[in-house]
Order: sequence, then C-alpha cells, then structure tokens
Amino acid sequence: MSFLTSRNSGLRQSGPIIQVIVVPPQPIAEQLQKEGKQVPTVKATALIDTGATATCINQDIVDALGLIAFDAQIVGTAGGDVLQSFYDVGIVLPISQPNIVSVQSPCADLKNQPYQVLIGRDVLSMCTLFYNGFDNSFTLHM
Amino acid sequence: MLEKELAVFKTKQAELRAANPNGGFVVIKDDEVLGVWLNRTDAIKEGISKWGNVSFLVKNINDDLTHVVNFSRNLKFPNVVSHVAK
Repeated sequence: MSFLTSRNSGLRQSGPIIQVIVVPPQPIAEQLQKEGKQVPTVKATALIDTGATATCINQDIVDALGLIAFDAQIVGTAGGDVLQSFYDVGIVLPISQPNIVSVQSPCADLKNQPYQVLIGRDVLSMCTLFYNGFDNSFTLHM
Repeated sequence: MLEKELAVFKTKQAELRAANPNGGFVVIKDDEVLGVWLNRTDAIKEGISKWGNVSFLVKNINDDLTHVVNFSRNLKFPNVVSHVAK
C-alpha cells in the first residue's frame, strides 16, 4: 500500500489538491503505439471531491487527448438531469504510479477553476482519504 | 451522439442479461450489436478493431440506466447528449 500526505496552511480554501497525469484509455494508447505515434498525456491539477459520484475532466483534456465518448450517462445538474457524454480515461495518481486507474468521466467546464480534474468517488472507492482539518493536512492511501 | 445506441441498448438489455449471466460489456454502433465481452478494455478494443477510432457505445449490461451521476458543486457540462424528461 502506498500513500501521500500533503500539508498546506491554505487547505481549507484550496481543498485537497494533488497532481495527476491523464492518459487515453488503454486500447487507444495501444493503437497509437502500433501506428508509431506518441501517446498524448496531460499533467493536471486535481481536486479530491467527495461530493462527486464520478471523476470529471475539463474540455481541454478531452481535446488534448483526442478522446471519443464510448458512453453516456445521466448527470444531475442545477438545471435538471441531462444525458452527458462520458469519456474513458486513465488517471495516474502520485500514489498509483506506474499503475493507471481507468474511469469513465464526463467533461465539465472547469476553465475558471484552479484545477482541471475532479477526483470523484469512483477513484476514492479504491482509496482511503483522511482529512485532518486541525493539522491542515490530508492523507491518501491506495 | 450515442442516443441511437442507447435506445438499442434499452430494447436489448433484458435479452443481453439473460444470454450473459456472468455480465459483461456490450458494444453497439447504430443498430449493430457487435457482442459482449467480460471486460471494458476488450470491448473497446473490439469496437476500434471493427469501426476504427470513432464513437460507439460500450455499456455494462447490468447498468441501471436511471442511475444519476451527481456533483455537489454546480458544474456546467458542455457535451450534453439530451435533456432527460422527468
């Protein structure tokens, strides 16, 4: 089991933030490698969000990785439920390297946020998250 | 995008579940059901092998289509397929 602990005096404001790498799903990566093409990757700032059912990515990541939707699911929004495209992606967490966590993510407009990814409870279902408000720290175990 | 495939999935889901008691992931493009594979990666591979790097549906045959993915923050989603009638 590996873990990371992050301590930040601004934790209450920023929330639990980590750096992740987002990659295309394995079949797409393998196809690109067969064609002699480089597999694109995106380094991104991610907020661990216990209020998110699923991990969510910004449109810039969809564009940079050339992702194609292989699923659509209902997403609850303030304006009502919408059927939303979901993209297969791989998330490399600092504690999961070199392993890739495969998830299906909707794309949300996060362009005015200080992060490009929300890590949802799909990834957290494989982790233990300990948020220590007294110490301004959090620990993520995998 | 994928609306047609989801409609096909809805009509076939019970049949797919009966035929695949161990579960699996079905691959559908337009009206064509390519097959069911036990893991999602293999299902996507077969779809790409058949149609190339284009959009097609890969769905867990045991998925509940009424399940709602929720976010506690008020996010905007640019890639809406359709609005869901209550």
